[in-house]
Amino acid sequence: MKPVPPPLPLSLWVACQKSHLKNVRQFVEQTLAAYQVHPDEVMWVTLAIDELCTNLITHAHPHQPEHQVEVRILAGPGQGFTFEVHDPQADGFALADYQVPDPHLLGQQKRAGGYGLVLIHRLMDHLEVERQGAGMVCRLRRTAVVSPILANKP
Amino acid sequence: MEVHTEWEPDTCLLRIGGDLDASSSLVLDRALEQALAPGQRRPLVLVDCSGLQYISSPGIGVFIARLGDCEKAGTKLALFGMSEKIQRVFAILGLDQLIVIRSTRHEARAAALAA
Repeated sequence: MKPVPPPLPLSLWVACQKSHLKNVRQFVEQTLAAYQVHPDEVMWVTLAIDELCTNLITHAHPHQPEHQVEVRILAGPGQGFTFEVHDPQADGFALADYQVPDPHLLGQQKRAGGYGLVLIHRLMDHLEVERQGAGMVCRLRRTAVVSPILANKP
Repeated sequence: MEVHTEWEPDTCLLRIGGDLDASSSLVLDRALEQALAPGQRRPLVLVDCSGLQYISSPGIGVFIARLGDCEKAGTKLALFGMSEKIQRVFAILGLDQLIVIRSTRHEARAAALAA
């Protein structure tokens, strides 16, 4: 008998420390695996959320190891999932408006950074940032991430 | 992540394993810095990625940045043995066209020296 997946939405609060990124990945991987999402798709979404959290930890809160952000996994639309990263204390980081650089150009310049947001944009089909009070919620979806368990609802 | 360095007459071989993310990329960066240090660097740096389980952009960034240092030092850099899923991360960014990535050590060595 297959284990019953945990009811959605699910949420994980994580401190802005690089060592906690593994917890974020495990949270996403284990949740989606319980919902029988294809392993390739689990990998891509996990990477995108890791990149988003890495960006917040590295650029938005580099000296605030106690500050926490929240990763949420919600059901829908359809048999898909919506992923949210909620930062209660954002400083206007406009991810949706970010001009995505050409990674090949970054590579030719031997740049160490800039690839994370490129990956997010290339891996996810939907990306939006919503201001919420002093914070923000970044909402991501990847169409191919579907679960046979989730009801097919609009 | 784990990094193990082996010094051979014409090659510095790095064996890396585990998760290469923002929390561990500095470990790889230091190992590559050491591999390129004047007085001990070899003509070729090979990175055995067969133990690598995960990679995110900070890890990729280390390889690309150190590729520039290799070019300045006249050292060749090549990666081999990585899983298909990790190679796909490089491919999404198009960086598999910039850095030598091969299946086997033998192929990586030949491709790096021919580049």
